[in-house]
Amino acid sequence: MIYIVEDDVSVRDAIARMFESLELSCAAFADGESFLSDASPRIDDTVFVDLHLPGLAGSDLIEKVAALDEAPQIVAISGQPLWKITRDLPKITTTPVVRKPLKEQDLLVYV
Amino acid sequence: MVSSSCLHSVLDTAVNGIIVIDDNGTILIYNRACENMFGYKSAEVVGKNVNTLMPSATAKQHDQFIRNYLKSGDPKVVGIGREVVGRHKDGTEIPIELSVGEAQTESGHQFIGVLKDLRATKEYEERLRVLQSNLVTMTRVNALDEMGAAIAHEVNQPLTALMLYLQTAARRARAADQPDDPMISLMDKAVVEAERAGQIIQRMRNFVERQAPQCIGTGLATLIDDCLELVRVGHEADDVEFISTFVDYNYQLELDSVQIQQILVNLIRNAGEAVKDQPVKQVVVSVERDDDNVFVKVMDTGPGLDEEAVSHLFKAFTGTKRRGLGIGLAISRSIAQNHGGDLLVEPYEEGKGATFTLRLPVNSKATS
Ligand SMILES: Nc1ncnc2c1ncn2[C@@H]1O[C@H](COP(=O)(O)OP(=O)(O)O)[C@@H](O)[C@H]1O
Ligand SMILES: [Mg+2]
Repeated sequence: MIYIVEDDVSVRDAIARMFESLELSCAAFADGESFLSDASPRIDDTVFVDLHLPGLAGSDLIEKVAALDEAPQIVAISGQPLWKITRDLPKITTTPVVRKPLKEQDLLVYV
Repeated sequence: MVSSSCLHSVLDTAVNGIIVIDDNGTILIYNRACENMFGYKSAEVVGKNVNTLMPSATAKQHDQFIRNYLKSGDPKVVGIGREVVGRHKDGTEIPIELSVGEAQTESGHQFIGVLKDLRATKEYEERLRVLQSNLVTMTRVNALDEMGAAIAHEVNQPLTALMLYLQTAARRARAADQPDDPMISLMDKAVVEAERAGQIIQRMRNFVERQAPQCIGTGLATLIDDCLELVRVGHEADDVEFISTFVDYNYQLELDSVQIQQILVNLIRNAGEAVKDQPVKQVVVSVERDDDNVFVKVMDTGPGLDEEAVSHLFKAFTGTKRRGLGIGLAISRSIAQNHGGDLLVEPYEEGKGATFTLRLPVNSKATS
């Protein structure tokens, strides 16, 4: 299962459509809160998280998900400048970051 | 009858230089202020021609000037006053504001010169000019940065969606029972163009990101004074009071002074605008410190900023008066963050003005 947490409607839709057309099952969420309450990611799942989210910050969400017992693979997505990314991402994690604008190859290498 | 010693003590108390010459240009009186101005002691120049105190070009002509005036009565300086150049004992030139009066005495025609040393004023004007032109240059660079960053960010989202939609559509077209080859070729071309747009955005972003702050040790109190001075220049007409309470002139901080000046000038200028129509027009800059941070606060007696106003405050391109040296709060904040600090506005309090706090880490290192 692939999860997408992204607040921009069209980016979220485009990513979901792309995975669907490859017959990969996926679920998309507009913010971290709804993801945490509705999704139950497992160890062989992948979660794409936009760092720039309303409410719960992307970096906090990543920290929460990484702390789960059977934590899924996490990939951060960001359109922010590099210094903001390095400041926001918890330093210890090895979360890969893909930067917008993206191509499908950028996401497909992780699934 | 005034005694001569009394006269001399009056002359020596005068802040301005005073020189009296006879109609040959010979110095009769030369007060203490002149000694400081020119570096010659009174004893060294009294009895000499006044052109000793002039650069050679003027010195050569000065006797002739006096003769011309005595003959024609047509004044060039007498009774008018003008800016002239003097020469210090060490050879350096001194800008001077000179006014000359004349008197008929028993011992003949005499001229009395009152001299104001303009060196400090000139240096000060020059320093302001340099500060201002640095700020103008940096503001241009930063306006470009701001634009670049905003475009990169805003265009990124639709471009990402566009690219993924196109790639997905192209894949579907390929997988169809009867693939429409011309259609597929068009979609592939569209993907290539979207990719090209993406690369442009990336290049723009790389360019913006390369602007790391240039940090050097800077006296914070002087930096604040400079900023206040820069803003004061535009507020001479409307009696706004700009005050700094930070007077620790030994306190040094590692920072990019031009960038931090830009932030402060913007904050102080905004505050100055905000108090313009208030009964009390005051802008106070103060500094607080703890172990890790320096907090520079700009406080005003304006109407303040309520929650609604604060929510739009730091967004790019929301400013209203973009002219001259202005940079907006959005870029001010991102400069502060590039320094590892931040720019915050204190919560609204009824009846109080706005307070902006610029936080800078001690040992401020650029995060890049
Ligand atoms: N100290 C202040 N008091 C009241 N309003 C302020 C203050 N500082 C900023 N503002 C408001 O925020 C707006 C945005 O400021 P800024 O981003 O510096 O852009 P600009 O000064 O070019 O308008 C100002 O136009 C003003 O309406
Ligand atoms: Mg402003």
